[in-house]
Amino acid sequence: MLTSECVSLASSDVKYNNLPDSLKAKGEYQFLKKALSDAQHGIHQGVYIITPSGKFIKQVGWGWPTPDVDKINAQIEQSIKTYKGMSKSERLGNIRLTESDRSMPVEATITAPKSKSWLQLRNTTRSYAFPEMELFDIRHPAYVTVDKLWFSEQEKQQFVPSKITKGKREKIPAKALSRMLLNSHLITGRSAWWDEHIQHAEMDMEVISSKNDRVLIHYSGKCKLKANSKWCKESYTGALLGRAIWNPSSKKFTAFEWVSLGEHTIDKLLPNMHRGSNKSVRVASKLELDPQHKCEQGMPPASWPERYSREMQAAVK
Amino acid sequence: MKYLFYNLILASTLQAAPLAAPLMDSPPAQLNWKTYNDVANHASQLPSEELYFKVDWKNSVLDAQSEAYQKDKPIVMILFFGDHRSNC
Repeated sequence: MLTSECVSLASSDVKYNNLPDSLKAKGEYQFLKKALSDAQHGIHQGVYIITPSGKFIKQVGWGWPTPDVDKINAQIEQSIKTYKGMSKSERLGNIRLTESDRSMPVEATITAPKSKSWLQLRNTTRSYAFPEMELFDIRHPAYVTVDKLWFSEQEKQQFVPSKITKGKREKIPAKALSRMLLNSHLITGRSAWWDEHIQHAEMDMEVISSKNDRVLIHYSGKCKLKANSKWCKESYTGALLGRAIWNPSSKKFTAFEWVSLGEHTIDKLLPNMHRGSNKSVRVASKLELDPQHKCEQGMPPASWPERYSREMQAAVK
Repeated sequence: MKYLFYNLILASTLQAAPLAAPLMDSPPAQLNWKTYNDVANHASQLPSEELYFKVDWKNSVLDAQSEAYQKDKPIVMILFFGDHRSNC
């Protein structure tokens, strides 16, 4: 239904509410304000169905924190039926917002430059089931975290052995792993890690086979982070394995996958993120070549530009 | 919000997809080459979670209203705080 019978919108209520008065005076904000004037809390987090004329139909949602899919589905179906039962003037009115009505500035998209041969990874992370878990908790395994991790052309060379010979084994500099560890790619959520929180990080790579332009490389590593700052009282201990195929002629990875499994402990659970008393959760993570989904275009790593070099930052501007 | 988000999409695009079926009840406790694929699968998105990519999400009310007017369709509007990749 979202694709065939509706136009779908995902945006931030906070950003709309924080617009300066000059932008709130424009048509887009005024349309939203009017459309949600019949909603319980006005412009506020939630799911709403409205008409292009700016008429409020329904606020959708059933069950918290465990939504009832069938009831939500029925609410949407009913709302579409209500819409179709309206007269054309009720549905469309005479408002058609144009560029001059725009209140919310168009956000600049950040895309890795096509001209540079960066290693662009897509990252998914999911916790294991744990005692006392509730859906409110961001660590619940019903949730998967999605992120991106980029390495420049020069940086990606750190993941290729200096000599392509079967059995050749080399260490990857621990520093090459910092961005992945400190930008929270191996855990769910994001934590305020700093360099000194990495207590141990090591990774080896080995050439397993080399045939024509297909060099199979295996990776194995371990890491340990521990923080006790005002903003982060957490630790993570994990192992990582991976495999990649390197093409020496094109100097590109044609396949790349790293998988990690570790124990993430949060000493100070937060009431707006966690439930229960369980502090330690096992968490799995996967990093692979970014398939470049259309709807993720322009979406940089969540921590961008933290811990990315000035050269990389300059390249995307 | 994330769970509601997924379920809204799930409810609306593929009513029969089970939310958690592909997840193993007891994924491996250790990571080694024998367990590698199972750990990787646990960390991967489920087919139901990938439905997100099938929806042509608009980022602003203006863009949604303009298209909805043109196509004579209602607007399903999700208002959220923060970044869907973070702790929303």
